[in-house]
Amino acid sequence: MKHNDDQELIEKLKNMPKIQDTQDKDSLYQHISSGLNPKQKQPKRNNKLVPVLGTLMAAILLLIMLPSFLNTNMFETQNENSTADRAFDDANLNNKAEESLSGQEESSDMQDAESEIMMMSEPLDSYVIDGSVNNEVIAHGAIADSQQQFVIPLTFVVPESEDIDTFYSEMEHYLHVQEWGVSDYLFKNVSFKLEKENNQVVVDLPADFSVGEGSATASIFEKSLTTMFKQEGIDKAVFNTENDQGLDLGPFGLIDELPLSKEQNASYKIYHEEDAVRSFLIPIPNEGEMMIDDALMAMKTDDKDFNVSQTIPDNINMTTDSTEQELTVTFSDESSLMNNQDTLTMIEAILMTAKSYGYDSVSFQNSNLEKIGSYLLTESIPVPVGANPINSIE
Amino acid sequence: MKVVFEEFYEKYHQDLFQFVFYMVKDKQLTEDLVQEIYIKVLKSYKTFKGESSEKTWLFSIARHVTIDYFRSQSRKRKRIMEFFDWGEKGQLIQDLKPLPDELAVQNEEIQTVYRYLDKCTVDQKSVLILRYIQSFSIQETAEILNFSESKVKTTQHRGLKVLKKHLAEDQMKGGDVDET
Repeated sequence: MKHNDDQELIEKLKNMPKIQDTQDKDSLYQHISSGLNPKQKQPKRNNKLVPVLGTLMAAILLLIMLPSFLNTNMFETQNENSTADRAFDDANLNNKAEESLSGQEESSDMQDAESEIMMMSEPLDSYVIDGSVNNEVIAHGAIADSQQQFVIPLTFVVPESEDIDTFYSEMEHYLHVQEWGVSDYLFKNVSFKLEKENNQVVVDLPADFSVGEGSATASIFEKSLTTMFKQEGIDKAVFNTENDQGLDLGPFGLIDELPLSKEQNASYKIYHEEDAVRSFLIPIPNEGEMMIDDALMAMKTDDKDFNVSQTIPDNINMTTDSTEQELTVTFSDESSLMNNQDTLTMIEAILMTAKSYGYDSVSFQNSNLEKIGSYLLTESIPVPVGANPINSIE
Repeated sequence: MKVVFEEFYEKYHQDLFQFVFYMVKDKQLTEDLVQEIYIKVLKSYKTFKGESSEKTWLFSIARHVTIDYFRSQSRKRKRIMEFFDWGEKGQLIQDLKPLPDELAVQNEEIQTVYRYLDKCTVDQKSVLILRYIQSFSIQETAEILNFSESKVKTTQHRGLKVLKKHLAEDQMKGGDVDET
């Protein structure tokens, strides 16, 4: 039976149908030949991409998830804090609250005190070099405001090592016209030689020197030289030009030398160009026979069009009396001086104005302040040697 | 290269295709595996030293490719089964493949034998297919499978035994298999 079964089964196996491949031979070969070469390369290429894509995906996921992680962390810390708070009993909590409250008060007191100290200790800006530095060598500079209406006087303490002529010739290095909001320095590359015995200054002008057109600049040119040298006892400027053809000074014509006229009486006010880093005390010339009373009155007015503002506040009133050398300013009873920058600026502006009117000193009366800045208001104050000190040490 | 391919194709292609088909029982899969076999043949043809006949060399490569396929399948199936914990039910899956046209027209007995071929081990199945369906000699079968001739005989015997056992069980149940 077994044997028959075997034979029967073998017959069945042998009768299994023939299975034919219906594929075309050529297309099969194409599949095979394409499989012979590129099949090896394709997986490799993919493998190279896997880590790159993986890193990219991880980075993207991280970016997406990071904010939510941060938020969760914040919540967690908040929760931790609240559970920690719950650990305190009520008494403790109250104590703590009181402590922190009083602590806050203390610290705010401290802050107030600190800011007061700050205000006290913060040095007030001085616009002048006071008269006590007589022994030092002083140089005067001049620049024009941005609209070339006024000359701004500058005062330098010349380092001992420096020659005065060299210092004047290289003054432009100390000027920061952009930051100050003023016009370009007129005397770039100009050399000065002071000849005090002849009361003149020799001015060497570069070949391309030009004052520019218009009477305004010519006037500024003349006033600048006056501001720089008149105080030194110089009466005229002598110009050395290429080929000795003279300087073309607009309305003055071609000139070889320029007499320096007396400085005009002026009221000193504050010049501050918008966006500039500092302000300057500038003399606003007073026309005609204006007396010192009127000059001081003029210091209460602004000229916003030219970025000029008053130096005597509206609520300060004063009367004047004078001897030949000294001006006496008496503040009215209702005038109350504050120990602040405005007051110091006012005192210095009055001193400079008095100087331009030919006084040697000023005495302030009826002041509620004894001292402002470095000035003792109880004593007679000598007029400053110059306005707008510029640091020439650096 | 094409000359070698054409030679093998003309001589053995239909036999090769049939062998692989009865091993895996899937025409599309058979086409893929046959391509793979040809690629291996063409790549290693230079190293073919003629120690055996071309025919047995070709079929031994075919057998290796097919066994590689079974191994990869069993690994896959194992993973899937572990994942879904299908247990014994997983065994049913392999019987659900549709019959190819050639077998669908055959009588029920042939179809039943065809189905129960999968109950044999790969070695048993290989021997039964080569010996009876392909009508290879014992010596050729031994060379292809790298068996001794006696091992071919015993494997052949055990394979038939497995088939008979399942066919007998099938008759006892009253031919349930046909309904699957």
